[in-house]
Amino acid sequence: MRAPLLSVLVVFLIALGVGASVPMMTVHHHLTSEPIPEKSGQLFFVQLDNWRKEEAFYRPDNPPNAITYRDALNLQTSDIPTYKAPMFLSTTTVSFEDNTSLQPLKVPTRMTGKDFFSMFNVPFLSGGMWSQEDEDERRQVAVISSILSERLFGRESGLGKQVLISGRYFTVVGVIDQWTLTPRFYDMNDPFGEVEHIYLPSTLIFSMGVQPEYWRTPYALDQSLTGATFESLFTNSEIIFIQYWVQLDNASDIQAYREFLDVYVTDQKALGRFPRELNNRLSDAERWMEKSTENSQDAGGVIALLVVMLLFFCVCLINSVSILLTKFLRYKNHSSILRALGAPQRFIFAQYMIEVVGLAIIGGLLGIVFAYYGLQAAQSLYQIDAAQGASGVLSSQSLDEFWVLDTSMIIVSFLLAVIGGLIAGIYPAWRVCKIPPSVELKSN
Amino acid sequence: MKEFSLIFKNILHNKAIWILTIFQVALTLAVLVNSYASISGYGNVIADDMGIADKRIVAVNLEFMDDSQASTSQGSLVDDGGQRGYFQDRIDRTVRLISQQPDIESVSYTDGFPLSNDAKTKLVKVKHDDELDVGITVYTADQNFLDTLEVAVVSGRGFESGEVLWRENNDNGESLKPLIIISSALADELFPTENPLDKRISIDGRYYAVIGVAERLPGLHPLWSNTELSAILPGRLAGAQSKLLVRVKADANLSASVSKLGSILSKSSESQAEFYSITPLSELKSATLATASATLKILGFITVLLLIVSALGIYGQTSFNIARKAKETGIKRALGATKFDILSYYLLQNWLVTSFGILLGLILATLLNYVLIQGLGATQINLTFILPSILFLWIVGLMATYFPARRASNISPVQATRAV
Repeated sequence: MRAPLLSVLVVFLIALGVGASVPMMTVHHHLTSEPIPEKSGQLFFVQLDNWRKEEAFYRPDNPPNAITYRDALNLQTSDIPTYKAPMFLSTTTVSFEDNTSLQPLKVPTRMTGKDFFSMFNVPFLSGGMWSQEDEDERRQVAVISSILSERLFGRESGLGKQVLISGRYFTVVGVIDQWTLTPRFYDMNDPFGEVEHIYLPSTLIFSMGVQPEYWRTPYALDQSLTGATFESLFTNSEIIFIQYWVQLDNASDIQAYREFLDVYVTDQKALGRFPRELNNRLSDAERWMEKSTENSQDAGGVIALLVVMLLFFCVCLINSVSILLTKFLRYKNHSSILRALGAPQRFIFAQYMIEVVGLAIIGGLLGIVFAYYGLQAAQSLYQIDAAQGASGVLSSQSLDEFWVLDTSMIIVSFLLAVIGGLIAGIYPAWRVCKIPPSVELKSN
Repeated sequence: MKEFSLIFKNILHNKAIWILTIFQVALTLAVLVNSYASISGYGNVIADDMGIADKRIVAVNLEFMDDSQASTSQGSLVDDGGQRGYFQDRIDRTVRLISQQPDIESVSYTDGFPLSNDAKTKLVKVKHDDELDVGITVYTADQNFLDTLEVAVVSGRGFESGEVLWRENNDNGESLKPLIIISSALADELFPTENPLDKRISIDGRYYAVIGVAERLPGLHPLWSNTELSAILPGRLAGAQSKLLVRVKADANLSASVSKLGSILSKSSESQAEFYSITPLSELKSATLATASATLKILGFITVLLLIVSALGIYGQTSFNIARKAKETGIKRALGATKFDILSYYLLQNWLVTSFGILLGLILATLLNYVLIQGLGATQINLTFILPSILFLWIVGLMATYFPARRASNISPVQATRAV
């Protein structure tokens, strides 16, 4: 290897550039890639536009990212979807039965229908989902995570046991096995959120008085609703808070469901609702994730950092160009002799490019190592902070998956290094093989 | 002037290597200006306590549970009159209990915490039919709120205890006294030229009379641009969930007071389903800023790395250029150029190249700033950030040139031209 110090510098620069850009790319990659690939193109998020006439929910013409209670009830009547799941996020308190000195836990809770579990392939450790009857009869049944089950009942199975949730006794009908969704795409209000620890039938919303964490209203609340109960407020107004997912298995079902939605909204318009133009959206999971990360602050931070990292990569490449130039020009004598002996220009060019690719490959491998440690460092920075924010709240570490360098990202880092190396090498190699051998040889 | 045209010709003659330097300077400037702006913008926010003794004030979240009601029939749990009485009583008793503690200076009821994610916002206007409205933080709190936060009333007065009523659930403020205290920043925003006292403000289609102006009252989220625009309505809400602000005496140990408060609250608990949390405001604030500060650390680290790589790179490119011109320099020296002539020639040449890079960099910096404002809510760049960055890059450029140029000027003409 000629000029070893300069070669080491090039390798190091490429590795540094890759090591810096790949961590944020990885987070962005996990944020936008579908977590349930086997259901790709079958899960759809429903949006109906009940916002006020003068102004869209989100510029320029996006409908709200949730629907109203009565719309959810009405959509439940359609039998086109294989599964339909209305849902919203809430927080409940879970008390410890035996040991009253322990503070109750604040637990993120998803209120949903029984289809949720089949739709998102939720793995059960024991038991299973609740029945339609449970839902209709408003029985107090719950599905809980294995982590919560362990906190409450230790090594014993939680199945069939009673849990005190927000002051009421619930029977555990199912315990969920280790389950992660990266991202938790069914609720993109917080793209870095994790799956919940408690699932309750959404039909209990009013009897339990569980208020949604997220809701928006298109109008200032009507005077007539002053002093209204939670129930009448959320059933009689245009408050949106329910995320509605359906599973549609084939193209004709999708078409039929689109028509169903259009007919439904047109009917509602006749009743004086939905003042805006017909603006129903049925987005598959991948499109929905893309759309919601575009509008999200947290995801925006990732993209902003990614841009800065890529600029840093550019600076590393620029420096590689000038180092390669120095390196190659130092050996121009050598190539001039080869040229004088009859080697064609492209042979010299190829010789230099092969050398560059070799350096880039080593740089890429080292870059992957850098990226791995970069991801760990970034994770520890973000998660120390996440832990601070969540004191007293039950949390698993399922967010870890955001920081994992998977095979596709390893390939991407490698390609990034090789392509970057090639780009950096072209000009120096071309420059050297363009030097007329006669001039170079004569000057010595 | 002849000097200049010579330098230009030289630069044009060796375009490629100079273009590298120009791009490098441009990219470095773009990142440097933006990081500088973001870090100083966020840094100020993170360091600023906004006039609140956030290490002595703790935020208390309470969640009461009325067992007698929970066990009866389903469906009437929320907003039941009987329950409201129970919650009013519990809130009163808890406030009294906490204020009796010897290490506690002041307690107040509130529905939101300053500097956190946990406060309510409203759109306000001066008249109902005004086109323009302003998003502000609105606290519904009792008469002790400003006292607990140690925020002074600069004109007018605070609330009296008789003015603080229990709010009906889900109303638009009809059950409250139509009075409001606004922050001085909000007063400047709504009434820039007039005395705000006794003026009216419209919130949710209802007018409130301004009775006082508070000195500096932080609202929702420290990074929100409107965080200093805030107001207080007199009132309390009797619900299962309520919030208190508690100020600990200056000479008391905060963590001891927090754990003592915890044991008092758990002793006074009337159901095993009751929940409370006690967090110092300073912790609440750093939790709110957690993601931003992690992002900033990463941004700062990458910027330092970029500066090192870039400075070394500029040095490498410049020495390469100057070394290649060794013969030319020797001839110049032989023809009578002084060492100073040689040195100033290279310094000027490099300064010109750096400045080209800076011009390009300003365009890039503006573009990058747009991306960062979208993504991070970063600070807008302005001359206070641009000028020091330009100065910094000029100095780096000159330093990177000075040493190789001095070496070149020291070359003896005989040696340099011998090879020709």
